[in-house]
Amino acid sequence: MKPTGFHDSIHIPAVAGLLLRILLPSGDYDDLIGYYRIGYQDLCSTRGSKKARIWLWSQILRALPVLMHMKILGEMIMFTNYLKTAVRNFLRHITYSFINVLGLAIGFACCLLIFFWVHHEWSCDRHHVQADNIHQVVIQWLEGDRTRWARVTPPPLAAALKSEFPEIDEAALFTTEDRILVEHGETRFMETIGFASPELFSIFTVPLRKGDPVTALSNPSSMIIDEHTAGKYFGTEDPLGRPLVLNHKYIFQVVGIMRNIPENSVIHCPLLVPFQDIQTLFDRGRMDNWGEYGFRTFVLLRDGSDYEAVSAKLDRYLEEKHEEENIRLSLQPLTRIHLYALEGGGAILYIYIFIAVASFILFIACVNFINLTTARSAHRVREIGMRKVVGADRRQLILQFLGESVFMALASSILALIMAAVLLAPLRQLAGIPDSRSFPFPVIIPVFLAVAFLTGLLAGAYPAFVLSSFRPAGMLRSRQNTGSPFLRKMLVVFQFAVSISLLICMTLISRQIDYLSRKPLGFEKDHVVYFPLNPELLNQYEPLRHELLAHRNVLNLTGTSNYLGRNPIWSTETLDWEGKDPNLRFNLYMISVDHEFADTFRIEMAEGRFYSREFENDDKNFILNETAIQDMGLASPLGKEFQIHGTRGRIIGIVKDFHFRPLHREVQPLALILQRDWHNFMAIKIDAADVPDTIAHIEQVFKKFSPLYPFEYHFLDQTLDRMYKSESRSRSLFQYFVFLAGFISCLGLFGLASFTVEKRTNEIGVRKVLGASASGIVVLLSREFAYWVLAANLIAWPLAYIVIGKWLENFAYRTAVRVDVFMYSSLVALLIALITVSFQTVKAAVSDPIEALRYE
Amino acid sequence: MKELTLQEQYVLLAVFHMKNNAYLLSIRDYILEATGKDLAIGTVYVPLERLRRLGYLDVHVARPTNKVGGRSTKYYRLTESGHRALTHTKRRLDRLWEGFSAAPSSK
Repeated sequence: MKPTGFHDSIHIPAVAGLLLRILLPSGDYDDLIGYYRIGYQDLCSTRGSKKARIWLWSQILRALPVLMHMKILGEMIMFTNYLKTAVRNFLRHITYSFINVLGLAIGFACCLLIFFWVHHEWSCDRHHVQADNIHQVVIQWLEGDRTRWARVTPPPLAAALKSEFPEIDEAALFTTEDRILVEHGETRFMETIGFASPELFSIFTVPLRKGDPVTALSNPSSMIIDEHTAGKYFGTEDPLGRPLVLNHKYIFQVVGIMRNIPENSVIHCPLLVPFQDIQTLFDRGRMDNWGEYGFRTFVLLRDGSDYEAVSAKLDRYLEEKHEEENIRLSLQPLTRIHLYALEGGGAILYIYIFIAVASFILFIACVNFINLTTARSAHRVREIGMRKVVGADRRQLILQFLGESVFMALASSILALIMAAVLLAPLRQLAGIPDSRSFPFPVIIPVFLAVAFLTGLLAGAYPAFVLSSFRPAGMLRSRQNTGSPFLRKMLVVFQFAVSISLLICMTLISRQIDYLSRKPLGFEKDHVVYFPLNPELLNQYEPLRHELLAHRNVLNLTGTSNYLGRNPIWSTETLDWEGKDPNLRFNLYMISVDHEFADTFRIEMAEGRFYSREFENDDKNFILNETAIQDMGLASPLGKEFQIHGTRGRIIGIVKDFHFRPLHREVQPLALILQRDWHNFMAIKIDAADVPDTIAHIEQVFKKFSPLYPFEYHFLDQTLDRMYKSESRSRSLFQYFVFLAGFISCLGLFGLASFTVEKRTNEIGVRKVLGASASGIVVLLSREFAYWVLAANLIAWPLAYIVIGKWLENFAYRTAVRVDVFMYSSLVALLIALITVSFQTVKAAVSDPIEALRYE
Repeated sequence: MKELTLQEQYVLLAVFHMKNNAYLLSIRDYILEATGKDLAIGTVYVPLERLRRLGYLDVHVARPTNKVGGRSTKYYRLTESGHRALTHTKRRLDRLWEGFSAAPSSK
């Protein structure tokens, strides 16, 4: 083939051109592509473009193996060179590199852990196949002028809804009862038992290991147990067909074994029995009782139906059908139950907060990495110049720098994975995540690597694209300005804003928790032991009391329907009193007590007297709390007639308000009623001295009167502390995150300070030569950083104020949001910032000016 | 000394014969004419570069001429060690080919 001339109008087809661009070595590209072009153009003009194209492709394909082989070999050689340079650079600035990789890794690890926690909270009950169509019926009613919510419904509702609403495919009843004695021979435990109608299995996904899900809950006195329980009672034996005895009286037959239901599931229970058996055991849950609100109703909506529309249709259902005018129905999607409290807020708030924190930390970490890498690239201007002089083209330099920073970012992510793996166990402990939930690797790893990759690309972008474009002559001679200082300063300001607001939030959360634990409750919680009462004990109540009191360290005791601090299980609106406004809706909580209740808990009287054994007919009387009297609007309450559920009596005393419910809510109206039938617990005030001996005495008496039931006891103060567990958890989590965010921010500041100092080396040298003192230079350099950190407060304060205000809305009793917390936090941040910066500034200030000015 | 492959021998010999006019296309055309083997452009380039790195070939980049479309062209020239390598290979092959006739000798 002979060259015949130029055919500039004819070009190699784009795809083939691109392929050649990739395949041909860049050094000889111009030369080689010319040959292809000539050949192609010649054939085009002599034999037509089709032939020419065939020729071109045969040229490419025939040479493909050798060209690729050469290409890969060449890249390998360059790659080893880049790797060598990268490693040398890494080692030369080991502190820098370490800080850089570590900072990013910590940020990544932090995010991974937060993601794990969020995923755990979020995935609750999403494992049911039909989760999106499952909803719970909730009720709302007006109490005074406040709307109250609850997840309880009457037993006949489920069946009625299913038959009357075509959108509802299935409806199930469910409830749990705790503290039921379960026996198998000598093996006895107190268990929580679920009662469910058979439809439960067609709504929820509860895989049965053995047994038939269709018939399992249909026959009375049959029982399904989970694998854990099966092991507990039957060991390795097959439990199918074996009996278990409930409350020492009712024999149930095991007909199925189910997988353990996750602990945070709404239907979590280790043992499951047919709903109708609740009548046998507790004489409640009659299927025609529309007035008994105590059971959960779950519905399965038809595919594609809109739950809000169905919810709206249900709204007045009870009013229309059953003349229950105050109670309205609505639906809550299953996937929201765990996260959203009915009256607003709930765990979702923590999820949002932690997602925000995670994003901030990730952002800070990435920004720092980019910042530090960019700042450091200034050191490499000469290397770039050198490479250019010996013939590196721009594409190679771009690849080198991008590759290097991507490599660093990926190294960080591997380090992060290791850290996360190590910290997973403590996190499980801290956040209460069961071992059964494993880390969702398939979901997170691709995203995570993508973020790392992107961070690497961004970090490498500046040296890759900007520095590589400089002319080598200039680069070898002088220092270059790098990057946009304004952008970088803004990033540091932002980082500190986040760290300061986290610090403020953490301080205020700690204060709130301290406040709650120190707040006077109106009763004494210390040295109060309580244990659950059972039928055996209730049958011999008086002898039990006397024997318990026989010990010298048992100071006082009282039976009660619930221990203080727990939401009372009884409340009523069926009330009447002298001069009651007939339109007033009034909800009264009730706690059953003994005569010694006030003494046991050291509750003070506001007016009148407490129940006393010296009065014969005290069980006809009532004692209310101050809030009740106030809300009822009674002027002189003592001796007034009062009526609960038609039981008449007189008000004989008013107790001072005490916090019988968790401090999230303010004190509500309460009646203390002398009603032994309601007792569920025995609360005992003991002396601080020789507690073990006293407990031993209590246990001994317990065993004497109730040989069947296992003895379990609790200290009231510990139980109350546990009620604020989710708050304490978020406090500890917050402490870690504040530390991390602060640490990462300081890394960023450190990097920036060293960068600034580097750039101003000459200036510092000149100043020193002209007589500036070292301390003067430190002040000069630090001042700028101080301004930034102070500027960060402008963002941090409002941010923290909004977030913490939102959080405190969860509590009826709140610590004051005082300005000093804000000031201290800012001050701490400023100090830490200055200390960080001082590492660099002091070094610059005491350095010999000769060094700085040597190159001028 | 490294054994030359057949392809390398072709390329080196083509460069040798082309004297001062050995560039990629002319080398390729020479091989086509002499042996009837139509090598792809890339298939010629790769051994050329390999031989250059081994020091068997020298390269000089000529100023743009009309001949190859007005671009600079990479010209190749046999170095001394290239020459030695060819000699070495030839000597060994000659010994192998010795006494071989086109017609079968034994019946």
